[in-house]
Amino acid sequence: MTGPALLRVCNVTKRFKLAHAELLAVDDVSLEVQKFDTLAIVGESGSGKSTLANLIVGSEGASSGAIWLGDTELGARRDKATRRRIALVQQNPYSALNPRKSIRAAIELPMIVHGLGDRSARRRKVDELLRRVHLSPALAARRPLGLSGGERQRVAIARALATDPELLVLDEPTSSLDVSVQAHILALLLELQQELGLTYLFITHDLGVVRVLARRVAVMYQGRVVEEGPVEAIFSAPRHRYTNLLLASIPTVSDEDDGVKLDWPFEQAIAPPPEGAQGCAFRPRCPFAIAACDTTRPALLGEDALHRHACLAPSRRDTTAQGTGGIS
Amino acid sequence: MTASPEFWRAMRRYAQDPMAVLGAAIVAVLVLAAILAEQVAPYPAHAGAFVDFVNANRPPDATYLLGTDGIGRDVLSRIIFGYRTSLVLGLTVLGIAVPLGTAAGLVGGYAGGRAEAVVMRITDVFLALPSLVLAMAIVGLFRPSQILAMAAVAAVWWPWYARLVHGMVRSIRLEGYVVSARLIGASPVRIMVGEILPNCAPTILTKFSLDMGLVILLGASLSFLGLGAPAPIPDLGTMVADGANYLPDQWWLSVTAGGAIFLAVLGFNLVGDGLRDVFDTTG
Amino acid sequence: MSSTRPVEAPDLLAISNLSLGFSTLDGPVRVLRGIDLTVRAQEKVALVGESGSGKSVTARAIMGLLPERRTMASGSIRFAGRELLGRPAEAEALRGREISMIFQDPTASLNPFFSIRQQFRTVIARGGARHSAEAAEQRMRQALRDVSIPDPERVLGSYSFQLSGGLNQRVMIAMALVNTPKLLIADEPGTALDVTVQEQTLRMMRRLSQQNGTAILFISHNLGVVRQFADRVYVMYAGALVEEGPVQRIFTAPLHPYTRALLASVPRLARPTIPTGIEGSLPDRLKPIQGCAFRPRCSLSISACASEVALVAGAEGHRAACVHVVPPA
Repeated sequence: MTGPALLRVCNVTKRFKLAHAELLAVDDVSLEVQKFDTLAIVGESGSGKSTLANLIVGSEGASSGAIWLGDTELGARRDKATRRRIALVQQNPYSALNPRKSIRAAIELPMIVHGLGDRSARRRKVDELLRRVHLSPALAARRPLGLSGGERQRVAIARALATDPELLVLDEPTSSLDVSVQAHILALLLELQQELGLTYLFITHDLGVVRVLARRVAVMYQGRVVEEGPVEAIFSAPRHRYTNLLLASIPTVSDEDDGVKLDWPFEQAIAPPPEGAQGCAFRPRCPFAIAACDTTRPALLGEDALHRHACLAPSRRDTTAQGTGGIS
Repeated sequence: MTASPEFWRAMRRYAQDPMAVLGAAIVAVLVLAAILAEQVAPYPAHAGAFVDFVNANRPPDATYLLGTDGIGRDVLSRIIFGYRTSLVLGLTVLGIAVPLGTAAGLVGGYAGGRAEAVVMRITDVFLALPSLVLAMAIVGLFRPSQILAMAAVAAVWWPWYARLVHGMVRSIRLEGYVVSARLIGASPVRIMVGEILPNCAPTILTKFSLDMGLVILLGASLSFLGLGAPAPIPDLGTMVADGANYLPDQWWLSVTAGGAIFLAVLGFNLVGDGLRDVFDTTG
Repeated sequence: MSSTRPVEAPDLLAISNLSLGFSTLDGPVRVLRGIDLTVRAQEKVALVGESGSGKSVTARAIMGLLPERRTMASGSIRFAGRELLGRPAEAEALRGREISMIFQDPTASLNPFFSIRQQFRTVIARGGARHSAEAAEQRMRQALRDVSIPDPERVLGSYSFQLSGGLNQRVMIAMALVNTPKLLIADEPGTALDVTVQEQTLRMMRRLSQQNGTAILFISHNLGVVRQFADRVYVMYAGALVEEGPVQRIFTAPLHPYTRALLASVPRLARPTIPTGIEGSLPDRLKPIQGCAFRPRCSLSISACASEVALVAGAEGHRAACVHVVPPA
């Protein structure tokens, strides 16, 4: 890998104690994000992607393992100097802004908390941040009421930038937005990354958006990373069958996109795994499972330095033989 | 911030509801009358220890719009000064109960865990006390004092605000802006006061308005039972009680004082209902 | 209305010139401005639009689920020839029998206090025909097997909170189709579900509706899903229809600038370029709209756009409300 990693997630596990059982939300996950890079963490509900994001932003502590930002370890308790280096952009822009506070007060808060600049300096910074996200500084005096979802998300991004962070955790930043607005937010995020040299950790369930924003992708399933690699490889030659299913499930809008998308035997019946099987978590949904999938929990192994997967019966590398294209 | 577009939008929405406007008009008239009682009342001197047996027990007429009582005092003047007594009572009681309850609810709701358990159990204990009985007990135990009566009412009133605010905080603290403030390292006090409290304010204000009516009513009940303001001070509850001795002949004594209480409670309730509709974001 | 439209089956649902307004404390709001929409028997029709387009309110109007107070409606909603608008009793009689509905969040649509069996029985009873307990049980199990639930017995004895979102969605589909309605209204089905589960439930809905001959009015903001699912598509913007046509034409040769812009906003698998998006925002709902509602955001707008724009017929039953559409000679 090139350059120093800004964020390193090392063997992180997070357990939640439930009434009768223990939930392994994040199961021995190791990841690295290079400086100025974008890593997308893709998964569906229960994949552990949101819990992983919570561990990184510090709203929860890991059960075991360590997270490093440069040379600083990121525990649940962290000092202000560390906190200002990471910012979070949340999914729902309607909940992200306090309805009873002005836009200026919202963006100013991180600066006040961290004691950055006097009143007039903060004022200038708010204006500058609003311009950066392509909003008029005249908006600063208003409250969020009456702002569209896209405008609110821009304000939330401006607030995230208020402490000049190095790492931005983007938790489904466009999932609540209309598709016509989503495009603008994606463009803005790319522009900000270039101008400010930001590093992104992009949490999403939507592979279509990943293609636009990310350079590397980690696919999570039930707490584990099942495949990780460069975005082109994930889209053109996914190895893990779950990645394949995710790609096949994207609703596309043109024949051209259908050609890229891999086939998936949706209607094929899958024999249930034997009672008490301790194998691959995806086994019960996988039509390609082999006998070993019932007994072995596959490890995340690299087929080269950049592309790793955890599948015992992976898709072949030459996708033309796998995917027939067309509407499945 | 009072001139914000949101404020004017709220005012416009409020003005759509004729009953709410009526309530606001009633409350405005009562409050103004109470503040400017010396200027507004036809016979300000009648509010104190004043005796005029010549004009005693006069039914309502052009000189005494609401008649006079057994020692010749103008009932209208006494009602106007009585409003002052009632409003002072309401404001004092709620002035103690609202901040106390709000603070307890904020801390309990935001802190969670053991602190929450302690605060909310104390709240439950106070909620279990019957307000009127407790007020009577406190007043009876010491001496008939209006201050004590107000303290007693406040003591049983604050838990309702603690409950109300607690419930709101439990849901508001999951909002994105609270999460965001916590993650950047804002202190609990800043989050409670700066982020959460402003969002509880509309509901607190609504309940405040509804409660003004209720406290005035409770104060009148205490006075009716002889636990109100001491003798010469005009008190609506005492006036109803005293007038009741002269029913049905001098009917206007009780009826006008009772009507005055009714009007005040109605006004504050209408305002409260109107505020609830304005702040209800689903409307 | 259009003579170019091929007549395959009679209109099952015919909405004409439907306008709808709500009075709010901020003033009157117009949410629908003259909607003309038809669903023929056994047809799958999609109503697509972004938030604020009025697509969901259209569905609720058909189902008679709008509050009567504060609602002003005009026009007509006819189902199999019967007028439904302003006749809640008519709509009520059809609900669950001739028309059924699936909502966005399956778990929220089921009552957590009753078992799936109890709720399913109510649905079957609503179908009208008298069934013995035994026959009803058989129908429920068959309906659940039809949606690929291998162990109907377990699911029937469960409560909604014990089942996954995907299973609840299948239960909802089974319930919606068990009385073989003529029309199924699906309001953003599966949007609350994971994409892989959504894909499967949509396939299931498609297969079952084909078997039962149920027509579907499919309401969605997701263009990709609409393309996979529908035969015919209506595109809504700011309470009015801007385009309608066969699905293939809408996606390969869209006529209205809004439809085109919407399609250009979707991230593409084939090309890792940034989609373009649409500048500006929806018009203020409290202000009356003059002419084409999309005009302020449209790069092609001309002065003629300021006056009323009617749907202009193109080829193959394709119509769009844009002054730039040239009718075929």
